[in-house]
Amino acid sequence: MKKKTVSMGLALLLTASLLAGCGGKGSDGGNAGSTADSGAAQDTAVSDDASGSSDAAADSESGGGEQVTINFQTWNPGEGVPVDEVLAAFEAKYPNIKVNHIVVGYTDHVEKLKIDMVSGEGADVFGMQTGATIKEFRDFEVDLTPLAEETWGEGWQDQYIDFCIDLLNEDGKYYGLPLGLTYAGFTWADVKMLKDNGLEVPKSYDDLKKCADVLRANGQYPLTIGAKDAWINIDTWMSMANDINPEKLYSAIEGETPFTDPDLVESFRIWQSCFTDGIFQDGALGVGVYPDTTDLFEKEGSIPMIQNGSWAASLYVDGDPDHERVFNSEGANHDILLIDWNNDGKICPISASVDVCLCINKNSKNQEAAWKFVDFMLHEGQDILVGKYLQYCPSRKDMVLAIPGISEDGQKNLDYIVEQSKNNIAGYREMPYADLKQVISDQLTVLALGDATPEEAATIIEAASQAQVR
Amino acid sequence: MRKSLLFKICGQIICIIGTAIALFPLALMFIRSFQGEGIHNYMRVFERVNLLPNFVTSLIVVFGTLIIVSMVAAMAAFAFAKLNFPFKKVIYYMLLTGMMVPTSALIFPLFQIVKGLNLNNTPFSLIFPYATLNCCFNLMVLKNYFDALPNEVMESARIDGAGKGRIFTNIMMPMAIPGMAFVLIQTFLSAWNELQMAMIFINDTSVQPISVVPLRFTPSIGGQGFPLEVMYATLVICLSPIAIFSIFGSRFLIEGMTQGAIKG
Amino acid sequence: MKKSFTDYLFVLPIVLLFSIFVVYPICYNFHISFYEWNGINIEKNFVGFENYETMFHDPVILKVLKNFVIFALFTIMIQAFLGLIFANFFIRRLKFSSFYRVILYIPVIATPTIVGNVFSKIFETNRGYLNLFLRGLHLDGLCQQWLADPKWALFCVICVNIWQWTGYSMLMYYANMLNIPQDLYEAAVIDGAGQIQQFTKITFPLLRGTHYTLFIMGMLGSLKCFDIPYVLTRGGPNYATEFFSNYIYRQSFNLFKQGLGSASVVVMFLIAMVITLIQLKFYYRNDKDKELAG
Repeated sequence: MKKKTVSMGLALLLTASLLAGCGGKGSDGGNAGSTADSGAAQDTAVSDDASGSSDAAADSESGGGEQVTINFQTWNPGEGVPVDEVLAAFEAKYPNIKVNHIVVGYTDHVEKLKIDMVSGEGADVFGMQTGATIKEFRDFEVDLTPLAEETWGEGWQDQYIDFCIDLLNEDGKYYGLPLGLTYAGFTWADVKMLKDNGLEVPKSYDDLKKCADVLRANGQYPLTIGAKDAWINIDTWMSMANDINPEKLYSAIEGETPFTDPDLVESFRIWQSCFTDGIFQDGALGVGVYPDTTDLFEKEGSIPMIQNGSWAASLYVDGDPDHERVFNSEGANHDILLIDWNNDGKICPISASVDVCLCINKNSKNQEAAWKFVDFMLHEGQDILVGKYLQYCPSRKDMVLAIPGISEDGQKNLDYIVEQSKNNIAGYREMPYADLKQVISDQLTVLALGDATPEEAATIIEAASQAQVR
Repeated sequence: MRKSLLFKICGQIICIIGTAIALFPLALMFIRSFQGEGIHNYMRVFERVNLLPNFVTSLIVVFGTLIIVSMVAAMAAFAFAKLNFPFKKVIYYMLLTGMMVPTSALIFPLFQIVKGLNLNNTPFSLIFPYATLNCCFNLMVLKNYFDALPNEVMESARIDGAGKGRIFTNIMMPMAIPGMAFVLIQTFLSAWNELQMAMIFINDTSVQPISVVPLRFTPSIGGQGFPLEVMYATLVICLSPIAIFSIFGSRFLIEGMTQGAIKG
Repeated sequence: MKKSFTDYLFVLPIVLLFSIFVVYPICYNFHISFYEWNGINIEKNFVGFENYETMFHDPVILKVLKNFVIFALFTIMIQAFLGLIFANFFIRRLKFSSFYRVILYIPVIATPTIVGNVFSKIFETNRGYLNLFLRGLHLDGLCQQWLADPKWALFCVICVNIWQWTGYSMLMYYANMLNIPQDLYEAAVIDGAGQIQQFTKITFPLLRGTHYTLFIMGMLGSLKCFDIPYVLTRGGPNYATEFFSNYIYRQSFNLFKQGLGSASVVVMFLIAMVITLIQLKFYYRNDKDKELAG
């Protein structure tokens, strides 16, 4: 009996030492067998690391004789044919550099980056959004200005669309470079479906109101918005405020004009009346843009109008079978348009953002290869991603959008987007102040619920704006 | 036990409604995974990703976790239920707190630990955190189960001269099989499905656990990538092993029941 | 002395794992809660209790507490009730019960993506299956803007949680019912007890431990509740379905306030400790009763 207890105790001790062995790092030979597995795993991990870094060292010294692998982590572009094509082209041009493309959803991407960076690791090249996020990661972003100057020469900024270069300019330094642009504030309409209901494509708020009444009477959705997502609310409200007075909107965001200014209160009023007048569909706050409302518009073709941005133009070339069957079917006719929210006869301006900008990790051991990759992505890469697959709008001035195989309908809408992007941009889309953005998005929901007047909402936002550190 | 007709009819009606509600959303997922290009959705997943290494990682992680949980949690639950030692309540209480912390608060410090131990990028970086969290989570279930087992059996074994180790392995464990089965099923599911740590602790996408694979097929806004249906197909592929396991695990429960009946 | 040493060996492994993989993360959060930090920068600012102060002045935290209480009470009671009913059917070997048992457990494995996508199709206002169903029954008056209305959104989140976790309660009751000696029932039948009496006099009281376990797990599950509200409502509309985990997540990943996020973790942790403590007090009191009774 005593022997049994002892052997049981030994077994436990062994288990404990296994745990302690793995726990205590220093595996001091005594734990033999049971730690072998984890030990081996540790060894391989260590040697992997070591070989990785020696590669890097060799590369930076000899200028790229040996194979280097760089990690490219982003939420966009995702996996798929376009990126495969880009990476194949890159590896053909630089056979010594292998790219490991890691795709995760946006929030997971930020989370993973945060954790990896703080631990001194992280992808060599990563995608970022302009606005608040790129600022938060500043400690880990390489200043790309000298690299750009060295590779592309003085005045390299001229090759990019002025707007996006302004957006990325931080006192003459550039921590991220634009892979593509997107424009927000648009409405998409199914012209055919509107016609079936005896309606024209609406131009103003009043038109929308008439459309909504008819569509509702016919049992159809009016203008559809996925108001569960804060971003579409902010995009849409900004287009309203921009329609009234863009200078005031942007100076208010920067804290120079109070949000209680009559022009801004008016924008909140229009936003609220879209819900109270039934311009937006019932239960809008309960659905998200992707995939709730986009499925209805793009895959089922069962709603006439939707709030969405310029990026939805990629529908024309994405090859999704449902899109081909419905959205791109014979005789389909869609319009991308801008609404005149305040009925003054002038359509609202759009806002623009760098959809993805590429940054290089300060801790990267392969900075030279990483820069080659960024350079490639902005040029040859963008030619494929944008020029062929319309993932974004171009960030380079020299790019002309002539998408192979795009339908007439698609070309018409693309032309409209390009024209608006040339003449009708009010300002940035992503405000750089996370707290203020949160409060605005909260108040837009409160207004949509009818729980506050536009004046009350404006007062609360103004209080947050004053508290915002800029 | 005789069953009245009323009981049978009510029982069937309630169960049918219950299963229909339980199944409906999953049936929708299954149907959607075949929309668009039908079986081709699945082909695209297999063409794109060699799922074998992901699958192997998942298996290693899950079985590693199961082994640790079954040993560690069972021993601890036995001790807390049937043995008396100083600070028992305090230790038990402290351990229970382990299941209260939300994963998003744990991830960063845990990553520091696995990195410090040089475990990151290996399945072991996941096994130990999963095992710990599941042990804490299941400790209460198991202790509760051991509590319900009669003390008399243990007493008589002790009089026969059996030590604690032996009482645990030869007497208590066989009686605790249904409880263990429940705990193991639950552990299997949570270890198989865990996503956040799996995504962060293992960098190489080709050997990440299979739960992370659907992320790669998440359609990005306005991106090309893959249609939503492909992601659904991926989800079906990833979930089918656990569906099979829960059926198998259920069988195990029944076997445990018959054994328990013999002992009792 | 030697006796209790072997006793400790049984708990040593779990204590070791616990101290490495749980204690450190908690201490870490406690430490960070005193700093102003975006979670990324190399520099952190020590701010003392400022994060706690900010948190207690945040009106959202009141909603979070309210949601937690409502959610916990409803989900725990209903899940336990339904779980008990189903387990009772299955333990009595109702026909096809092994099939039902497997199916009922399946929602537990459903991943958040599926839950979100499918249930937003069910609860959608205009063409959602639920409203279509109600209109089909000419009950138009009962149609609601389910997820878009703060009054109903929490209700929807509760329903989905019940859908997902009833199978868990069921299986736990089932596993513990298997443990109840059959001769107790046989004796009861001889005494002339009916089905209902057997349940109320034998099954229910003997599952006391399970009730407690499910109660505390439900409480902690409600505290940690994240996925369902995140995919269904993003915590909205207007924080009507915001829970602690969503709050923490928002602070650290949307607003880059790691310190505030960590302070919320600490507070949440304290609440959980108090709940566990109260529950264990009850549990041990019952233990004593049992010993006295036995």
